[in-house]
Amino acid sequence: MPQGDSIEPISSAPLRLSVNEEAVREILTFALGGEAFGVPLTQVLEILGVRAITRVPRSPEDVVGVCTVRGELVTVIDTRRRLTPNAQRAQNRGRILLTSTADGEKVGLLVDEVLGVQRFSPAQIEQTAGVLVGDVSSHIESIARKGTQVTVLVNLASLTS
Amino acid sequence: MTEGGDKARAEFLSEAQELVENLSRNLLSLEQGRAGGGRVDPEHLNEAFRSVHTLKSLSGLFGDKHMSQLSHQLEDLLDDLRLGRQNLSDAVLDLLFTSVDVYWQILTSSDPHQEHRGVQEILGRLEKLAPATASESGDLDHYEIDQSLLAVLTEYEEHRLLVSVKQGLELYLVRVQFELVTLDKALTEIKDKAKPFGEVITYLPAGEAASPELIELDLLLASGNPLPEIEAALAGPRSTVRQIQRRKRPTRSSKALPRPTPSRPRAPTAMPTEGTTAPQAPDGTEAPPADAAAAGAGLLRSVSQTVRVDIHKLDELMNVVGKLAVLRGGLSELTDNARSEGQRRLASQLWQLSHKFERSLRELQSGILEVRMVPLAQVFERLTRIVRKTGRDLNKDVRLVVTGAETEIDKLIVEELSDPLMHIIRNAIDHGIEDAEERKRIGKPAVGTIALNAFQKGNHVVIEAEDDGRGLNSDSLLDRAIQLGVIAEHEAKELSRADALNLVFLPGLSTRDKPSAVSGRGVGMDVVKTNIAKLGGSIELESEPVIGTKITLTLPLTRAIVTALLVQVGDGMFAIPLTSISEVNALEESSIRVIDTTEVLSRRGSSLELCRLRQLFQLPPEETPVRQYVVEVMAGTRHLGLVVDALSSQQDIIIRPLGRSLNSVRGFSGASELADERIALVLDPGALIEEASAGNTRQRGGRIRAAG
Repeated sequence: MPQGDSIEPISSAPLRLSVNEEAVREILTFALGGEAFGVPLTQVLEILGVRAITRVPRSPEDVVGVCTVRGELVTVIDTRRRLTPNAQRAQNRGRILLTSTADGEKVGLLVDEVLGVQRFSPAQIEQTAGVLVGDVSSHIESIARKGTQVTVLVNLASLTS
Repeated sequence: MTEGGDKARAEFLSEAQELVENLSRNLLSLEQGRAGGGRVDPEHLNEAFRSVHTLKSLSGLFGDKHMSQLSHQLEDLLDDLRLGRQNLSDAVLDLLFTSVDVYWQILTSSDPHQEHRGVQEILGRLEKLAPATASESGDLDHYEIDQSLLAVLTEYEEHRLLVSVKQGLELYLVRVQFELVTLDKALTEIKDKAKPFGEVITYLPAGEAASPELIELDLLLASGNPLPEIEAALAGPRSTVRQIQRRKRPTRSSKALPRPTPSRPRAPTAMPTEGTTAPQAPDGTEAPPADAAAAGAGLLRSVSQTVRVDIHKLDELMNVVGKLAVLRGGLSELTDNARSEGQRRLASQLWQLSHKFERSLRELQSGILEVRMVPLAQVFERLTRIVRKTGRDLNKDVRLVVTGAETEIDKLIVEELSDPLMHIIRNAIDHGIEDAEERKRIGKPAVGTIALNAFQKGNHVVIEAEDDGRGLNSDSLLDRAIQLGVIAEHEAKELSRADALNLVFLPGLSTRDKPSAVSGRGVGMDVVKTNIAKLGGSIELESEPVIGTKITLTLPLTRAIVTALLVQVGDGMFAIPLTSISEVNALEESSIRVIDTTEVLSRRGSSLELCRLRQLFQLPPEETPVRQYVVEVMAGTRHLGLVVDALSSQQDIIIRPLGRSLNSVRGFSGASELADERIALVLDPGALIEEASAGNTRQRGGRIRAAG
C-alpha cells in the first residue's frame, strides 16, 4: 500500500532493452540507524515482532542468532552491522523481516523499524555498480530517490549469504 | 512441488533401481555358485530373468528407449540361459555385469533422452553373442514318466528335467494331499523341505481328490539322494513318495514332447471346481510360480503392498512429531498450573491425558524411525560389484566376505555411506592387497580377502572393513608428512605408530608415490573422514605390516531424532547426543592437573582432557557456579571432558542444520527446538574433540599444523 506518495504512471513508451527500463517496483522500506533501506516486497515472506533469539557462541558478529518460526529454524542477521556498521543501535524493539534464500533457507533480517511500502519507477532508481566500494557496498544494489528522500535498495542474495 | 510427470518418473527410476539391484545380486550369486563348485542354482537365473522382464515392461511403459532396448536383448539372453540354449560362460557373465553398469549409467543420467555410449556398445555385443546351443540329447525315454505329465511341462520345466536327467539324478513323484484352504502355505512348506534334496521341477494336480475340500498334487522332484532318504524327509500321513523307475530299454525312439504354450491353464478339469464357492478359489491358489506369469504377479503384488515414500516427507512428519512434543510440553505446564492452583481433579485428569499423549507420540516417533531404516545390504551389494570390477581392472583376485548386511540404518545415512565405503574398498584393493605373485611368495592365499562386517552396538552401527593385504607403511607416511611440512623430522621420531597411522587422515597424504588409475594418490582418506563425521560418525584405523588393515566406522542409527542430554552453560542451553556420552560426573577441581596449559582430570589411573565450554564459548567467567559437571564425550576411542554449569534433562530432539551464515562456526551440529519452545544448540562432540587435539598440537609448537 503506497503511503501518501503519488503513484508514478507506468510508462506507455515502447519497451527498450535496457536494465534501467524495468516496471515500477514495490519496495518494502525499513530504517536502520536513521537511514532508509528497501528490499523488494515480493521477497519478504513475513514481518515478525522480535522474539527470543538464541545467540550462537563464536558466530560472526553480524549474526544475531537463531530463532524458530513455526518449527522452522531461522538464522537472524544483524542487518545494522552489515549495512550501517557505525550507526547507533536503535532504542525500539525492532522487527524481523523473514526472507528465503535461493536454496530455500529461511533467513531473518533484524531491522530497527519497518517504514512501509513504496513504489519506484525505473527513472527513480540509480544503479550503483562500480560507484561504491567497500564491504557495505557489496550488499547494495541501487539507490532510489523520491524528492529529497533517498532509499538504499539492498541486494538480498548478498546480504543473506 | 514436482510435476506429475516428474513424480511418475522418479517412481519409475526408483523401482527400476531396485530391479537392477536385484539383477546384480542374482548375477553375483550365480558367479559365486560357479566359483564354488560349478553348480548354478537355476533360481538365481530365474530371478535375474524376472528382474529384466519387469524392467522391460516398466521401461516400455515409461518410454525409456535405451532401457527398453537393453532389457529386451538381455531378456532374450537370460531366457536362453535358463532354457539351456546358451552356456553361462565367463564372457557371458562379463557381458551381464557390464549390462548392470549400463543400467546404472541410464538410471543416473538426468536426461532420459541422452545417448549413452555404453548402450549401443553393449547392444552390439549382445547381438554378436552366438547362440551357442547346448544340445540336449533326450534321455527322458529312459524313465517311466507318465506321458500326461510330460505333456503339460513348460519349455523351462522340460529343460530343467532334461538337465537333471543328464546329470544322472533320480526322479521322484511325491503325491501330497492338501487342504484347499491352506494349500499355499502347505505347498511352500513341502517345497522348502524338498529343496535340500534337489529341485522340484513341477507340480500338478493328481486329479483324485477324495473330497471337495482336499486336493492332491504330484511334485516331480529330481534328486541325487536315494529313495529312503527322500521318504524319510517327505513321506507322511498325507504324502507318499514314488521313485520313477528307469526303463530297461527305451520305448520311444526320440524325445518328442508336445510343446504347450508356457502360460497354459494347468489341467483345469482336474480341479474340484464344482461346488467351490469358498473365497479360496482354486485358480487363485494354484498359480505356477516359476515363469514369466509369476514375475507379473510379483510386480502387481509389490505395487499393492508397498508404497514408495520420499524420505523428505518422513522428515516433514518428524517435524510434526517435534511440534507435537512442544504441544505436550504445554500440556504438562497446564497440569502443573492446575495443581498449583489446587485443582487436583483437573490436574490428575490432565496428567493422565498428557501421559497417554506422550505414549502415542513415542509410538508415532518410533514408527516413523522404523520406516526410515533400511538394511545395509543396499550399499554392500554395490560394493560387491566394485570389488569385482576393481579386482579385474588391477588384475588382483579379491573376494569380498560380507556379514551383517541385514543390519539396519537410516536411509539417509545409507545413501551417504556408499562413497566413503567405496573409497575404503578401492584403497584396500589398490594399496592393501598384494598381487598374486607377491602373496604366493610370502605364503598368503592367492586370493585376497576383504571382510565387511556390520553390526549394531547400542544406538550405533559399526562397520568394519578389514583386508589381509600388506598393511599401511607408517614410515612412508611419515616421510610424506615431513615432505609436505606437516611435521618436522625430529617430531616424526616421537610419534607412536598409531599416531603415525592417523596421519593418513590428513589432506594430501598418500601411501603411494605414483597415482594409480583406480584410487589415485590414496584417494582422500581425509575426505572419507570428513564425510563420516558429517553423518555424526567416527572412523578409526588399525594396521599391521604384512597382516592387513582394519578400518572401523561407527555411525549413529539415525540422524532424524536423537536422545540428548540438555546442559546449561552460562544462560545458554546445549544438547549433547546421548550416544556420544560415556560418563557424567561432578567436577572435582582438586583432581585437575595442568599439562602444557591443558587441563587434565586424573581418575582411576587414566586421564581425561578437559574443555571448559564457558571458556571456549567466551562467556564471562565471573558467573561460574560453585558446582560444575564434567560430561565425558567420545568419538571412536578419543575422549574429552566437557565442563558445563548444570545438567538439565534428557529429551528426544530433532536436529536442524544451522544456516549458511553460521557454516564457519565450529563445535555445533545444529540446533533444536525444545519442548518449552526454547532453542538448544546441539554440540558436535567429534568436532570438539578434533578441535581440542588440534589446539594441543598447536600449543606444543605446531606439531601437526594441518590437523583439524
